[in-house]
Amino acid sequence: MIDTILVLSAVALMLDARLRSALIVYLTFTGATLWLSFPREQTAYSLAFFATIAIVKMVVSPLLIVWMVRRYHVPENLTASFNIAWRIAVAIAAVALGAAVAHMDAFTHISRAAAVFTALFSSTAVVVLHRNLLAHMIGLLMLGSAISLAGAVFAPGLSGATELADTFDAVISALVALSVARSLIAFDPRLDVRSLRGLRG
Amino acid sequence: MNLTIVAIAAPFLGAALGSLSPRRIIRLWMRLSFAAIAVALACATLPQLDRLAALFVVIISIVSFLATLFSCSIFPKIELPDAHWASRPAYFMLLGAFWSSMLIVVYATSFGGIWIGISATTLATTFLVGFSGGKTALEAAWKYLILCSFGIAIALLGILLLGRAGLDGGLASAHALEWSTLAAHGRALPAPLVKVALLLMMLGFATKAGLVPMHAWLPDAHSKAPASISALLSGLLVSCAIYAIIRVQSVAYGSIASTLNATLLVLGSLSVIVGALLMLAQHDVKRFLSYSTVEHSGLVAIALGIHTPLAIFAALYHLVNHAFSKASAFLAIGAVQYAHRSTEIRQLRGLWREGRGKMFLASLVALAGLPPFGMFLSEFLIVIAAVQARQWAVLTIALLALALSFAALARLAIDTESDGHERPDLRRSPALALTAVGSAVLIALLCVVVPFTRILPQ
Repeated sequence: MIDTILVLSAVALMLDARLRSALIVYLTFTGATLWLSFPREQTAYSLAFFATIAIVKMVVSPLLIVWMVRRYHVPENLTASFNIAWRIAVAIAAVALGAAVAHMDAFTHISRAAAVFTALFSSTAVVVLHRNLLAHMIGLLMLGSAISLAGAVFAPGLSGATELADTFDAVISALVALSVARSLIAFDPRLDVRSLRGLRG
Repeated sequence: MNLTIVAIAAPFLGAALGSLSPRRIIRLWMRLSFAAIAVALACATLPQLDRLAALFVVIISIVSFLATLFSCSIFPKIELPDAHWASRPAYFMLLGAFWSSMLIVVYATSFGGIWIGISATTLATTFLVGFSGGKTALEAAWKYLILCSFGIAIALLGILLLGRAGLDGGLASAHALEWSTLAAHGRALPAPLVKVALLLMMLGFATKAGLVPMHAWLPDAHSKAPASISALLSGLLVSCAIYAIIRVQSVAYGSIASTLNATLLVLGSLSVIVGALLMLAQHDVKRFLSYSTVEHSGLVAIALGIHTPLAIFAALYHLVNHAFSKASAFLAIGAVQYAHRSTEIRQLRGLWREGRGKMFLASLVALAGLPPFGMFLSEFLIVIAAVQARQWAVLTIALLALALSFAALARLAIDTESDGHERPDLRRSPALALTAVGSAVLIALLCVVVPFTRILPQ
């Protein structure tokens, strides 16, 4: 059941281009990953890290995004890069690829590997499929949640290291990205990635 | 308290304490003094480290000190004053945090520690890349953040899988990510899982090393950051990522090692050729130097992919040479930018007349792999290693790329020399900044003696 919720919310995030509904779906996705990655060994250390990650991902980050949208009047359209047909195709590909990778020799004995890889591919797809920097932030936050899930599924015995890494990831995604995006508003209030095309990697 | 922890914390704490004085001159000397103390503390930890980690601690300490020295005299121009991190104390604390996080990478004894260090560099350097608050700098910072976050997430996924393999192989969870344990017991671990894990880790760290095709963030970030930060990004951060790749290689064996080496050869070959070709198309010196970093990073990856003792020695020697040569080039162009207010090649004609221009020229000679600089020897050793390993295709690509990059460097040198005339409107570069540039050039020159010492791990 929880795996289905996870995959459906990941698909919805790839298809959706409205900020409000995307945030609600993001909360569902992150809630599901947090549910699955709740530490088995409930030490003070692991619970403290888990609480930090949960607060940053479920409360602080969404509130900061909403605050930025209201404070700077950022459009709530996440500006899809492709039309809906292409987005559906990419979503199907992400789910199929996640299932295919989970059937590789290395992962056949690991349960929930498909959910982990689908979450990882979906978070990448969310960044690719939208031009708005807020969508990229949601993609980064999803990636962090997918990594939390990967830690819980692949290496539950390494809980301390995983949670420390997750916390770092959450801080980078939420706080650093928001700070940079906030400064970029001065140059492009729409926060559209097209304005970045002046740079050629 | 553990000396290693003190050495890691020293750069950041020193930068924070150095900002406390109300008088500018005292702040300057406090920052320099604390940076010197950080170098001394790092040197005091050297006996506790293996030779590979010790080598990187020395490089990180010297280049970071020179960057601090340079930043104390030439401070980056701020274009968007309301960027909330755009202040001198914040700049020096971020610089200190960057220095500390690179030390975490090389002091770590497990892959978890390395990941935390590499991840922490992203945290500090995103703000440093976008420090000026200019549009392109902020865009470069965003691009850097997104691409490197995905890169380090891939590396973390690999580390988690390696941890799983370690636990499945019967290793204790406290030691499951230590490379000494993994190298000793690697063959007892499930091979398919280890292979995928190490490949993901290598690809993740290769993103931070700027290897093609994961390089897209590098030219933007390195060219838009302040000059002293570009010196650290090109000279050190890329080296730290390659250090992580070397540690990944150290736990591989048999067919897994062959796969990793082949991957490095492909990524390295792509990087040298793409880096060298794009050097020819640049009109901005900092962007030119950034693509040169891609090329040199690729050359080191090729040497690591060949993986004979001579090739590994050559790779490490090339990293040392590149760290100092590239740091000197970026610091020199920072001094030039301060005077000319531009890094556009066509705006810098007649550069050789100036002292800072001569230093820049010396760093170009070093990067071109010409004697008497050490890069001549390290490139020669990489070529010899490729011949000995009969890697003819890779050797051909590397030689072609070296020829192209030499042509690009020669063109840059000629373009900045020709049509020279006096420019009375130029600002004088501060003495401290020129001292930093001169020291970097001198150290790059002295690197020629490195192979004749016992500094490098054999």
